[in-house]
Amino acid sequence: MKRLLLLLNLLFLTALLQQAVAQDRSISGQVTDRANGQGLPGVTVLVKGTTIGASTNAEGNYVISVPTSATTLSFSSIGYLAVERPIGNASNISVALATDAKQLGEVVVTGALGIQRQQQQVGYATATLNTEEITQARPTNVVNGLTSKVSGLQIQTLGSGINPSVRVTLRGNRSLTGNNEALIVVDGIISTNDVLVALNPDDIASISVLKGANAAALYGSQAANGALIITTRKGSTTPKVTFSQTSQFESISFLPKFQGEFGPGANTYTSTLPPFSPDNSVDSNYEYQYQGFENQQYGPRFDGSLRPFGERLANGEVQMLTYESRLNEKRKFFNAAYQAQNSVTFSGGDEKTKFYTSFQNVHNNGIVPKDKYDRNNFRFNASRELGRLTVGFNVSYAQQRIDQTSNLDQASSIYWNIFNTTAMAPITSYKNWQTDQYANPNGYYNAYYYNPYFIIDTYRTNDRRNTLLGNVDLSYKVNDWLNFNYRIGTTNINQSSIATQNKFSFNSFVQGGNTNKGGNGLPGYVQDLSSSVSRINSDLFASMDKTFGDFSVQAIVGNNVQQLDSRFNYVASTALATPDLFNLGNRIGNLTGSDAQAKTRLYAFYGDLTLGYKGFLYLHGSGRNDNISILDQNNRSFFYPGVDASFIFSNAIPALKEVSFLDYGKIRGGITKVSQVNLGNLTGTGVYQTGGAYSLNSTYSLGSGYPFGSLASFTANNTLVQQGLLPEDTRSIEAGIELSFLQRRVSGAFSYYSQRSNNQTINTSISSATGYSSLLLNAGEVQNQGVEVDLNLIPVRLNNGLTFTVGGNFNYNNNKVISLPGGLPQLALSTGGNAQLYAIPGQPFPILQGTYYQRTDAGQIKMTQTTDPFTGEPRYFPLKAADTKILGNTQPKYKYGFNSSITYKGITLSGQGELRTGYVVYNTIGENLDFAGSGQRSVTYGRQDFVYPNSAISTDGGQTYVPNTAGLTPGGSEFWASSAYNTSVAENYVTSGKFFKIRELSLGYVLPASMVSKIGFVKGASLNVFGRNIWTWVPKENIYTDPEFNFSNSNAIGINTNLQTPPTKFYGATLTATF
Amino acid sequence: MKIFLKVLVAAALTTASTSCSSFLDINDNPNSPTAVAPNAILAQALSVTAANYTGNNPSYNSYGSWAAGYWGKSGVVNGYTEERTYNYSTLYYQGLWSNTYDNLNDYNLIQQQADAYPNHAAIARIMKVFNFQLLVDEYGDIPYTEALQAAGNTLPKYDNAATIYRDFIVQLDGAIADINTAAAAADALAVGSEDIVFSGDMTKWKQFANSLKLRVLLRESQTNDAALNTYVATQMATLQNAPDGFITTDVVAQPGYNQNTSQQNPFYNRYGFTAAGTGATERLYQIPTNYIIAQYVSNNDPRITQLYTVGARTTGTDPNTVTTPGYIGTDLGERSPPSFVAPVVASRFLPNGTFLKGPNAPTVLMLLANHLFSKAEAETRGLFTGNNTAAKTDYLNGIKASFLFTYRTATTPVIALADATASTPGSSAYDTYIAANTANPLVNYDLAPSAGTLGKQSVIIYQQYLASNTVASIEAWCAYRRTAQPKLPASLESTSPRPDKLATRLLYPQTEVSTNQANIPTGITQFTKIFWDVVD
Repeated sequence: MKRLLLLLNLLFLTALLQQAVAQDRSISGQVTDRANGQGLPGVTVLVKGTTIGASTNAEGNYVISVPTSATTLSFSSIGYLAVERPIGNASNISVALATDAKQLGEVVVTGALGIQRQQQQVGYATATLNTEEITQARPTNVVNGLTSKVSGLQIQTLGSGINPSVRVTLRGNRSLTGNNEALIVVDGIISTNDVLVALNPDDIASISVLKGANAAALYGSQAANGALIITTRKGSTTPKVTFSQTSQFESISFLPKFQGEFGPGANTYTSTLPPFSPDNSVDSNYEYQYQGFENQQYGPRFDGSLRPFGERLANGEVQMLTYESRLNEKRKFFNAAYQAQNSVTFSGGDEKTKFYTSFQNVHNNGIVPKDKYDRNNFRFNASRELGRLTVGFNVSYAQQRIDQTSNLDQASSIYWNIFNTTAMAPITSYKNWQTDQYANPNGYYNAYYYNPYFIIDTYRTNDRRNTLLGNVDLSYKVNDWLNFNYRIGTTNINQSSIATQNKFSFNSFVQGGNTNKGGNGLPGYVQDLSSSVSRINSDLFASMDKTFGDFSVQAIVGNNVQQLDSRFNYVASTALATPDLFNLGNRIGNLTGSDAQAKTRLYAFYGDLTLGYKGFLYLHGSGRNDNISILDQNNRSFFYPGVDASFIFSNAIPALKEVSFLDYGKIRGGITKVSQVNLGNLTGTGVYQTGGAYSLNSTYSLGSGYPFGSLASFTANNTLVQQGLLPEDTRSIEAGIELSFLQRRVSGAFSYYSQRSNNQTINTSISSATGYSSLLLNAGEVQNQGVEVDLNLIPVRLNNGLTFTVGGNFNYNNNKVISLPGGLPQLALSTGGNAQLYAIPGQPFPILQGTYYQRTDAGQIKMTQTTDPFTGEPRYFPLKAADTKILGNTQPKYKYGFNSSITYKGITLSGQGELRTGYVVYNTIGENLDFAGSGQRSVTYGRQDFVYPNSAISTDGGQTYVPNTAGLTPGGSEFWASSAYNTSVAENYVTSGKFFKIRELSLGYVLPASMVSKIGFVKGASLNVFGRNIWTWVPKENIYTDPEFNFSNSNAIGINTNLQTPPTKFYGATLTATF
Repeated sequence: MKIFLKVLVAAALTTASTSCSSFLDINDNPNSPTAVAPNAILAQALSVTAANYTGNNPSYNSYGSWAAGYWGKSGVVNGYTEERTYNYSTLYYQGLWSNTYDNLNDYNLIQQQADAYPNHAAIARIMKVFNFQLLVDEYGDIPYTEALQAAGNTLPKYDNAATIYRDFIVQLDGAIADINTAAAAADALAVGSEDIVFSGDMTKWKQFANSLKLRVLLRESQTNDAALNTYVATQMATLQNAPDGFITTDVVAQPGYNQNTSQQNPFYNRYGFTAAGTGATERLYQIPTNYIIAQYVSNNDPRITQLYTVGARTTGTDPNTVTTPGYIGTDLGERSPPSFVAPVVASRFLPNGTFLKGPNAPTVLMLLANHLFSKAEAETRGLFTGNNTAAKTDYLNGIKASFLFTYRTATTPVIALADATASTPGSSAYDTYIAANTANPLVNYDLAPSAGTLGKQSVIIYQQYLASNTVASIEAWCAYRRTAQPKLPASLESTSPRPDKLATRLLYPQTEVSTNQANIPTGITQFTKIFWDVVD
């Protein structure tokens, strides 16, 4: 993209340079890109103080004739830092140009529809990152390369594992229950979030981030959340082959803090119980403190003695183990994962034809044993100029294969299983469960949970996804100021997934009830799902760009048509007839299944006009009329406008032009309305999505179990719909200033925005006494206000090439629910647990609300008195309140991104960090750890009875309370594992979400051309060593996990779960060679 | 320039206007119906009612089984805190509320098409009473007149429980009249196989309506409200001679349960075995209380052999181990309840026994035994004529009906008592029981104590308690609250301030608190009484 522009620039310059005067001598040389040593075409070479100049050719070579009076040559190119060189007597001057950290003003912005504007012309906030910035630390998912690099952009990685999903939001959440994720546009075609994991990062030429609705309005209603405009590489005039190999390692960055002091046991009030059975027999009846078969870890303190571990086997044997902690087994269980990326790209072409093709293979072994991820990407992009017509097409195909442990529920969750495995267990010795009698489910020590290695082999999910992206682009140049464009493209994702559980039957000894293991085994199943989604997007538009004296006019009018088609088929068996054969034919009982399809359409007309005056004042307005199938006839057509302005005062005010330290200054402002239809894009079944189709009527579905033979019968579903639903409106205003000083050594931007979304389409819970449980209606209002600050400094920029840059970005976002429908006091975004997310008027959104302890007016926790059933002594428990209270907001209010780089002679050291603060997270895994007794929190008081801190007791049946100084709370499972007094009290597990992460650190070295050229056919080579997420700091109170992790991909952000794997860090190296 | 723009706009508009309306009219749902006829709703509505009543998660039966002292927690599971302490939260069994209203909505949708489906609508009208009564009995005042209005009223007000009870009789009388009207109309659509209870036999529906009336009236018959007592007496007098009489068999729903996922008998599926034949998750979580075991063991009641597995207690150590088989239960709230491994092996629901007859067993809507005990109670208390003579007959028939139910296999059809022979399973066990307890006032009606105007109510309720065990436990729980009989023990961990240390009702559910708080009656705790609960 940049190359293409440079060529245009070149033509322009050539005209200018025709006036060159008589020359005396000739100087030649090559201008190269410091980053990779390759020749830079289109660089302007000027004799300083004159208009004499030349520009470099495709290989970066130039020849210039200079007058004898000339002393200095200056080299400049958009996107690079300008360099000056004294001429002296030299006849050959070669320079290497460094990329400009951030050139403001002249940087070209790829806006809506792929139309490019100079940054100075736009009245809204954008950011553009090029391929190096995205891929320097070799993320496999393109979007992870954006993390912390753009203010206002939040990339939330929802888990670890071999293919974690990400959630991309800009400037907070607007819609209460609807879609808040940024629109994804690939090569001008509206696509879907699902393609992000299927793109080859090496194919990306640039990603533009359109932060607000102003920027993105032309994309239509989906752009109310901002947009990511991804542009892939187009090819070049010189043939070039690049090969790169990346090897990286992934390891656990931290585990929850486990306790390693106490062994298995589940009894309560154990003070008078003997710790072990006297003859070391198995205590199957809970008469002692120690039960070697327990998942709970409330047994006696480890003492190094030899104890029976688990229960007696059918052959009478029992495993004897020393009673000690083997805590590092929990970490050892997880693999150090290895990941390889191999990529080859080829680009070539001439002035009229360009093409680019690539292949990438990613292979990833996860940290969970036997998890595997494979991805193959193919891409072919080409374009050709045929007179006035330019034809281009891009096509890419990605194949993803995931083979992993299912992690569907607690039974198949490895993480949960590890929580419920005592520190005493030598976990890694139980690998061979088929042959080792103590590893086999029949003899495995844990009576209530399976051996994790058995789970890994028993619960598998095989997922295959094929993603095809393709588009054709026709551009007809009527004359030098008018263009017609037609662009049609499609995104197709086909997914097929088989989840299996193998059949396992306990032996007759276990089935006969001779152990505490319940049941008779696992029935096995096959769940076969295939789903697909296809989007077609077509744009026809005309664009003009013409200057009339002092005025410039840029206009676009166009038409957009979109269609979404999606469907899924799901068939499952619920029990296998024989083990090890995963075929639907090998089953007991009926097949179960379901399917659905959805189709939505939209057409729209839009117009966009930018008026410029003398290059320092720009007014821009746009309007779009959408017609959408998913609303009813009367409301399906709607119009929304936007206006903005930009004023480059550094160009406008003559006095400022003279100020030497100010390079560039601009103020801007805009106001927009965007309407979005949020009818609930139901997802969750593979890649199936409804796009909100068929949401206007209540439906019926087949009753549970039906049809019984020929008897089919239906039940009314629980959702009602308000008649005449309207789209949601988001009105935003934004204003900003952009400044650059000291030849771009200091540059910065500041934005303020305020958005108000009303007419929210919300599925509200209603009294079930109505016969229904929810009503979809229009109401509710949310406000987001915030500031974004970007600052980039170049403290060192020496002629010898040493450059040191530091940058930072900051985003403060304050959002608030203004109102909810029908005066509703709150709206639940998630349901089920002890702490859940809500929208509450006057509060930030989403807000965490959960259970808590009763407190006295003085803030002391009220205790209730019970009696130790063995000793008869009084004991005190904290009292849970009957209702819930607000525990905090779960979206970070403050986000800081930091980046820095040092470049010298082909060596680049760069790093990115991120700090998020001003929010809380809810650690569901904290409840799990306390229940299991495996977490650090449960040994806070060494399992001794303790005086509950800051508590109060009552001696008159709860009338009055006095501070508690000596009343003891029991220190064993009767308190820590108790749902009544501890684990169901949400305030115990809320921690600050604050974290600081070193997201990326990379050290790159570009081999000098002199060295490389000796190898002959090699044109360039570079080596890059990197790490991602290499260091994470969290506050001391967070003993659980990465606060970014979340249980779902919805607006309900801020609750983690055990259906995940622990957070990880990556480090690796990439070798790139160009031929 | 202008001409180009004009051409473009014109072209775009032409394509748009020629095809736009049809281009966007693609919103007919291809996945789910948006309207369904009553005959395609009825079967599902009936089976859901039956499942909510007996074995769903949650069900009235399981709630009643804990509350009425049938069930205790086994040693293999943590939790059941609320069952053990009566320290209820608004989440405790909140699904009963929403599931019942959801089910009521389906009946209401059937009723809305009464013109075309008068018989279906009449059945729906009866079943609405059945379900609303379940709600009133656990929650007292509930949304009734303003309920089930969909978007028409999303904040329904709560009606007085006693007033709702009066309307039940009006509705049941109305339903019987509707059936008679439909029978007289030659073109009224008949009910077919979608009636999974009576297969379209409308006379049996009228009998069921009458038995339900008896249940409703009897439940509100023991208050100190004179006006109400007069009303009950009047209604009872009419009811006794109702034209179509009462039910003659157990009333069960059988949609075609079989050993397949989602198609098993709901109780069997939840507390017995999965469709794959493996143990259900909750199979080992609850065991009988020592109290209920004692009622069978001490009265030589053979029914226990059909209910629970035989446990065992082992004493001594190798090699002098002595294992004593026996029925082993727990005291709810006991610190270390027994599990299923030696030395103490607890009893649990017997596979293929009464509770887990099989995956294909029908679900119970009303036990004939319970109806007969109600009738006996009405007779001994003078609400029906016939005094103790009639009461004793119905009492003994009630016990016999319980035996026949207890011993009946999954696939044997329900039969009327009159059709039972000496070889019908349960008949001889019944005879044995009666013969073994000739001197036992807990069995022999004649020896049972009589308490003034209540007559021999106590022994009738006692036998009803045994008959309802784990099948229709909620009926025993209602009877206990109404009569304080039998004197069942509370959990050892009870926090209840009541003299009997039990709770009396459920709290209004959290879903209602978050959606309709303004209308919820205030000052309600789990120890507040329902209007008909007066005797302690």
